[in-house]
Amino acid sequence: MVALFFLLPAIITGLLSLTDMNYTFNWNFIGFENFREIFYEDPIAKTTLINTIIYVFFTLLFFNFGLGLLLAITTTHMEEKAGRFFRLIWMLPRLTPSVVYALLWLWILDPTEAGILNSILKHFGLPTYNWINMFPKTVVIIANGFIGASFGMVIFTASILSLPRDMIVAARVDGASELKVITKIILPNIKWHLLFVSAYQMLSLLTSYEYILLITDGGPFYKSEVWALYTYHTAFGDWEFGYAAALSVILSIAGFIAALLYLRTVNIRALLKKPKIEGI
Amino acid sequence: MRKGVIGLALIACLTLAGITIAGTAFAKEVKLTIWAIGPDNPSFWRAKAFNVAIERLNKLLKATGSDTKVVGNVSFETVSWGDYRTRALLAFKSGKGPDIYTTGHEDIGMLADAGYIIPLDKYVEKYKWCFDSFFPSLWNSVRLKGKIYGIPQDTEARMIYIRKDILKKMGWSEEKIRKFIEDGWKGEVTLEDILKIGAEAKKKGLVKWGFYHRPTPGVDYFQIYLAYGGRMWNPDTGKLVLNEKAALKTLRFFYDAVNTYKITPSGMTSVSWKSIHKAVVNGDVLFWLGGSWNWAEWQRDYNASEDYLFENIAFIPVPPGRKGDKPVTISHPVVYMVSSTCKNPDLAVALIGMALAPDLNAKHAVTSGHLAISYEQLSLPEYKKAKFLSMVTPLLKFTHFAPNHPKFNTYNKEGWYKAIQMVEVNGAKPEEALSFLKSILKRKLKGALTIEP
Repeated sequence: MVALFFLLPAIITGLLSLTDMNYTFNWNFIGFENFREIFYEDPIAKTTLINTIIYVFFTLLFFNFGLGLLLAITTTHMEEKAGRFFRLIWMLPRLTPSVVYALLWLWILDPTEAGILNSILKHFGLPTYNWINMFPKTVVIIANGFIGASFGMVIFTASILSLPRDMIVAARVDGASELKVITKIILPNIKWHLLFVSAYQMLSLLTSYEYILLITDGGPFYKSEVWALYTYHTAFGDWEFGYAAALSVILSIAGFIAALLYLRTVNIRALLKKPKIEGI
Repeated sequence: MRKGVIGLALIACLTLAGITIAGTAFAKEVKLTIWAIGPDNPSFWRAKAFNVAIERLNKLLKATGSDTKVVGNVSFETVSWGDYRTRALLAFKSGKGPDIYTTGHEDIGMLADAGYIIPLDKYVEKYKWCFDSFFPSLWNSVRLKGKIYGIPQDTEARMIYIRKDILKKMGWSEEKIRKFIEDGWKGEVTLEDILKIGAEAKKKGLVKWGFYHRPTPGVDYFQIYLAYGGRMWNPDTGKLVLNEKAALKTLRFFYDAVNTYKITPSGMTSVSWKSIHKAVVNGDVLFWLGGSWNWAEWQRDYNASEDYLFENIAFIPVPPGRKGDKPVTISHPVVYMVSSTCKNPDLAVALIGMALAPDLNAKHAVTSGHLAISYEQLSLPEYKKAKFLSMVTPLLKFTHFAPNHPKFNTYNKEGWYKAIQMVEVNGAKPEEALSFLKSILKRKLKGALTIEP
C-alpha cells in the first residue's frame, strides 16, 4: 500500500520533473533543465518562495499555533459547557465546504459597497476599500488561519484536559497566579503537543493552496501566489506538467528537510523515550 | 426550399455514411458525446441545438432506410474556460473525451498539435450544403496549416459601450452624442479621447469610474494592442509576435487609465463580473470594453429591458490609437471540433451541420447576443427582428481573430494579462511592465516568439 500510494507517485513525479511534458503528455526527457530554469531564470519562483515563507510563518505563528493555543487555554478556563460552545463555533469554518467558505470571504471583502465590510464602513461614513487588492497576503493568512486554528485548538484542549487536575489545583492552593499556572504547569506539560502541531501544521501549510486559489487565485500580480499554488497554476493553467513536477519535487524536498530539522530541534528521541517511571 | 435541398443532400450523403456505419460497427445505435460551454447562461443553444439536430438527423436516417440511430449525450457547462479546458485535456488524454467538443477557435493550435482533434476538410466538403452559406472569413479562424480543424458555431464582436445618459449629464447635446458615435465608427475618436472623457465624467462626480475592462484573461485586451498597431502573430512564420512599440503604448494606456486619469480601479482584475455588469447597467461607469453578448446578458440576468438599454447605452468599435486609423474589434468564434477518438466523424460532422441549421443558430444568436454565421441566417425574420444584432453586424468589417497557436494561451494569460496587472495593481511604469512581458514571453515561448522593435 505504501509503495502504491506514496512511493510510486513520488517516483513518477520525480521522473516527470526531468521531462518537458505539456498538453501533449509526451515523456520527453530533458535532464535537469527544469530545475536550472527554476533556480536561475524564473523570477516568479523567487516571488512565490518569499510569499510562501511569509504565508507559512505568519499563519502558523498567529493562527494555527498562536490562536489555537489561546483558544484551548481560554476555553478550558471557563465553564465546561461554555468552553464546548466556543470550541464548536471555532470548528464551523472547518465544517464548511471550502468553496462556500471562500465565497463568504469574497462576499465579506467584495470591493464594491455590496461587500459586507465595505457596507459597514459606508454605514459609518468611512471610506471603502478593495481589500483583496490592497492586502492579498493578509487576507489569505486570515482566511487560512481561521480554519487552521481549530486543529491546534482541539489537540491543545485534549492535552490540557488530560493533565492531572490535582497539579493545577495544588498550584492554585499554593497561591500561583493563572499566568504562572499556564506558563509553569500547562505549557511545559503539553510541550510535545505544541511541537507536534507546529511541525504538522507547517508541513500542511507548505502544501496548502486551496483557499488561496478560491479567494485571490494568487493575485493580484503574484502577490499571494505561494509555491504550491504556482505548481498548480503551472500544471493546470499552463499545462506545463514537467515544470510543475520539478516545482513540486523542490517543495517536497524542502518539506522533508524542514521536517528533519524539526525532529532534530525538538529532540524527538527524548520525547518518544519510555517514561523513566516505567523502567523502574 | 433551401432546407429541403439541404435535407435531400444530407439523405444522399447519409445513405453512403449509413452503409459504412452499419458495415463496420454492426451497431444500430451510434452514441455521440457532445460537450458545449457558455460559460454565460444565455448561450445554452450551443448544446440545445444538438438535441433538436439529433431528432432531425434520426428522421433523415429513417427516411434513408438506415437502421442507424444517433443517441446523443449532450452537456452544457457554465464553468470557467480554464476549468473546462483542463477537464477536456485530461479527458482527451485518457481516451474519454467527447466526440464533439465546443471551444474557442484559439484552442485549435494546441488541440491539433496534441493530436486530440482531426482535420475536417473532407467532411466539410461532403456536407458543403450545410456550410456553403457561411461567411467565408469565418473559415480563416478555424484553419491551421491550411486545414480546417473546426466548424464555426457563432461569432461576436467586441466594442466600447457608452452610457449616453452620462454624456447628457455632462452637458452634451443629442447632436454632439450622435456625432461622437458616428466619429467612433469612422476612427475619428481615439483611445486618448476615451481616457479624457472618462476623466471628465469622473471629475464632475457623474460616475464612480470612467472606464472598465474585463477582470479575467481574455482576448479583449489585444484590441488596444491592435489599435496601437501591434500584431499578435506573423502568419508567414507562424510565430507569435510582440511588437515593442505597440506593447508599450498599450501598457501606457492601462497605466494612464488607472494612475494618470484614475478612471479605472487599480484592482480592476479582482472586481467580480457581477459588480461590473451592475455598474454598467446602473450607469456607475461611463465606458465599458465589452462584447455583443453582454446585451442579452443584461436583459436576462440584470433586469434591464432592451428599451432601457437602447435609450441609455450606445457603442462604438474600439477606437484607434491615432486619429483616422481603422477602429478595431476582435471576434472570437466558438467552434465545434471532432475528436480523434470519435468513431463516426462522418456522422459527427453531419450532426454539426444540422445543429448549425440557420433556424437553430438564429435562436442562439438572438438569445445570446451573438452574430449570424451565414448569409442565410441574416435573412431569417427572427434574426432581422433583432435590432441590436443588425446594429452590431457592421463591426465585423473591423474584425481580427486571435491566432490559432498552441502557445497563445500562455502568450495571453501568463504574459499580457500579468503585465497589465503589473501596471494597474503595482503601479509599475509601462517600461518596467514591458521588460517583464518580454522576459516572461521569451522564457515561456522560446522559439515560438518574435520580438519586433
